[in-house]
Amino acid sequence: MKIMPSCRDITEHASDYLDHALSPWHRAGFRLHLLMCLYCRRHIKQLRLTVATVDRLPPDDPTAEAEEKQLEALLHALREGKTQGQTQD
Amino acid sequence: MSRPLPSDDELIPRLLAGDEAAYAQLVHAYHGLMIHLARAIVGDAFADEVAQEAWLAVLRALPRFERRSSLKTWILRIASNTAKSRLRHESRSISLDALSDERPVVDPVRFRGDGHWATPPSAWHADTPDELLASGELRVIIDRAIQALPPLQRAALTLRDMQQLDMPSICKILEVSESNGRVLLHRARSRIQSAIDEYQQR
Repeated sequence: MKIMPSCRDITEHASDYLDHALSPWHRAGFRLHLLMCLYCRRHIKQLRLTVATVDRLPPDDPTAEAEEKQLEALLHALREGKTQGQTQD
Repeated sequence: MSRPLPSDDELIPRLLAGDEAAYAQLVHAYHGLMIHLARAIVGDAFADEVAQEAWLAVLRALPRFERRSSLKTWILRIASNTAKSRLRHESRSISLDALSDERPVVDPVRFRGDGHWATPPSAWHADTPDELLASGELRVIIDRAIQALPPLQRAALTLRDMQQLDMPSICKILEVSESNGRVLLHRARSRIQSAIDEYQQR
């Protein structure tokens, strides 16, 4: 990315800007561009709103019953002493 | 649902000693997250089986856990790998290559040759998530857009924006570099943004 990003550069790195993952130098270039560019301000605002909206979607967690069933299976394996087997990690 | 867990230092010896209450705490703390991650990678149909397989793998591998990451990250990495294997097995055609999606996040025809907007974004008719989600139709469109994401993009979006994990942990869980993790997340968010934008411009 150049020091002064183009609109297209802004769209490619917009999450890095929102998440404070840009270097200070690139962040300064971003801010300067945004000061001057209504459309990129709008694009960034819409991305921020998108992230906030995804965060607000209902999570659809597994039920307590499903969790208990999983725990029972795990404890069963623990009791059976099935601790030998394939390696992971 | 997650609730506060004892520290890894306290929990790991109890798990290794076969303390059933410790396993119960672990499952209550992380099963939900594991299911969300498995669904993101391999889809709803196989998520329960993948989680079950992953928990058994955790049980087997625990004596060899070297603590190069937190217990939580390690468990979710096992779940991620289990889900990826399952995905490869179920559909050999699906590419897991994180960056096989090389398309720009915004259609290039919307920019002039110098990189400035030719077709700039139009304003939306909503300023808050509540206003956006008031439309049941848009909610469906967002859900569909999330389901249509490539698996690793969906996993990054799920872990970061829906489950609020930090980026370094997410990259360890998905076994991608920090910069690739950021690309996955941004592509996922941008696709959802485009889907909302299309709906707003109708």
